[in-house]
Amino acid sequence: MSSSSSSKMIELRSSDGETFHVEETVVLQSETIKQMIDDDCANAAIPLPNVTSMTLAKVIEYIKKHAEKPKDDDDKKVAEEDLKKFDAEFVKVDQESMLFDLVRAANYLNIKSLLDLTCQAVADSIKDLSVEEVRKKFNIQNDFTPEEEAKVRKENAWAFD
Amino acid sequence: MAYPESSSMELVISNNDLLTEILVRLPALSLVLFKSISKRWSSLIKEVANVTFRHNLDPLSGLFLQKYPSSKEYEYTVSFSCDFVPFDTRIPLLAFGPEVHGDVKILDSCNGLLLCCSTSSSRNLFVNNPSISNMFKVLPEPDKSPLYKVIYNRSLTCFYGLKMAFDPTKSPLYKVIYAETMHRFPFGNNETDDWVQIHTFSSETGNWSLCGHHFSYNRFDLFGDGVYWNDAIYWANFEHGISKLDIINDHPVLTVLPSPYTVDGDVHYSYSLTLFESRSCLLLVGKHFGGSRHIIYEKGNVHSEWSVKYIVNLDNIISPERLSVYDKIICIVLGEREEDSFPVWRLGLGIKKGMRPIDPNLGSELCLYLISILLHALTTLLSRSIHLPHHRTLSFSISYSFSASSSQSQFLIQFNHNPFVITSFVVVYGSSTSTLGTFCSLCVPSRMWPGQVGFHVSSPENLLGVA
Repeated sequence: MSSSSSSKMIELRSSDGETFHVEETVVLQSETIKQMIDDDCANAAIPLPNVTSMTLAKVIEYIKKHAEKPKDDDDKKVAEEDLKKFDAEFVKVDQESMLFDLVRAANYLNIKSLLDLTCQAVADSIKDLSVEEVRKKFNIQNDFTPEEEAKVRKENAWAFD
Repeated sequence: MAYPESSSMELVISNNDLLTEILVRLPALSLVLFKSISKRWSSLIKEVANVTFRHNLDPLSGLFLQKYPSSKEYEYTVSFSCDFVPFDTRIPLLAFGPEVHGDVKILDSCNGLLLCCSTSSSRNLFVNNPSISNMFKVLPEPDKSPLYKVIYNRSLTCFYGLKMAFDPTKSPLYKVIYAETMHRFPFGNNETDDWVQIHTFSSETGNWSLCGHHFSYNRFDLFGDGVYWNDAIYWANFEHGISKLDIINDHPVLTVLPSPYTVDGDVHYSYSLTLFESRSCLLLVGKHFGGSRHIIYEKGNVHSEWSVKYIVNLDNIISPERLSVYDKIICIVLGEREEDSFPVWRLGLGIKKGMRPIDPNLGSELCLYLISILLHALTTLLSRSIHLPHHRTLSFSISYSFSASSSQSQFLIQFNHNPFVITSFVVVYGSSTSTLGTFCSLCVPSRMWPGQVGFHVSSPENLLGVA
């Protein structure tokens, strides 16, 4: 067993003032926080003005799960499967806004794997939509003139160059 | 400004870096379509496409379905009609041009380019990019060999030996390979006396060149069913297994590849092997003779061995007693992700030998029969725990048309474009059983035959994956 199991705790404070205590080894998955710790800025609670407590709780759930280390090779396979399942469930959020909150949090905290996961979930949620449906979903104004739009449709990448 | 509940979404979507992170994870087809969302999306997608598209071939957007007239004069002046069957309902039906209609026959297709010939008296060969409908290039006639002109003008069957070679990820240039069968005079001698010579057209020079080497005629049996992959044409025939014609330089080299062993350790009967290409992989379907089990092998690059990719059992789709020898995979589409891959089947759907041409009066009855089969297939799929995202309901429409003039019937069953369900299900009937399996039709990316079913099965459960 590892002797350094009593890892140092880091305190994070969400935008709405809630504090979370997370082991340093876990929180190091965030490049942003890692930088702060390296710069010795993590002695007091780290303020995260862009992340709400609800989002931060989700992020912590994610990084805690991803910090678990398998004991041996047999365990590794099981753990990988388990992690896959966890990831799939993790992005099934009730409120779609939570997914985008997580994208922003992952971006701000610079957690690469979480950004990959959440961006893929957003991509999956729109990949089968029509152009109109995407515009409606994201409230995007069509700024093409009808002629321009026709031209774009025509130059679609089925063409080769 | 922004509503609180949507602010997070809008902040993400309005951030170029984050939107790009999302865009790079979209399937290529969605990217192509989403270019017309707005100017900002269009320019971001162009940047993304520059990075990602160069390494991969564009996704397949559908199949061309070339229908043959029932007339015995098919080799002379006939009209071929051609339908485009998209793999996704968002792809406009007219995305592929009207050029491939009328007196034009598609001979081969390769990564989006079509090789066609005009069936009018001129017998011109031309290359067409159906995504730019008005562009086609008429090829000069190959260098004349003594018999060439005669055959060229007489029959379309001589075009069987034409293959197209084009890989846009490597070069915008293409080649056309013509394996011309030469007969020794006088006719009637042993076939083994015939030989094949290779003409190569290069779009770089705009000319044909003839390789002086004589190849054995038997070796080129089924060359016309071959596929272009990694600078070579691959085909499988009864006697010689898998042949490979290297066309990288002016002197084609013919070699023979080892066939894969079956999972049971037997060597496949070579006549049950069929080759396909998809997403830069060479795929080989081995069918157990008389069985419904198909083993799909994959070769990732020229140096790798064949490895088993899928084992597909047609029992899942259609009951074994309805299977005929013509029922087979006619195209394999590997998706960007594993779960997006699917085979396209040609299923005769229980047409029994001797069944007469479809009578217009028979239409509704047959239609019902087909619908029952389709529903059977659909429920089979659904019962294999395909999950539908909650916002989608399953809907499908069936259209049936019968053309008395061409004695052809067509059933088109379109499901919504959810990737977990059947996308399109096309049944096209030739007018008589004799057309079944007799005439080959080429499409993008592969051929479809009269009387076949295009079947989009992307449920991994249906493809019993093998590690």
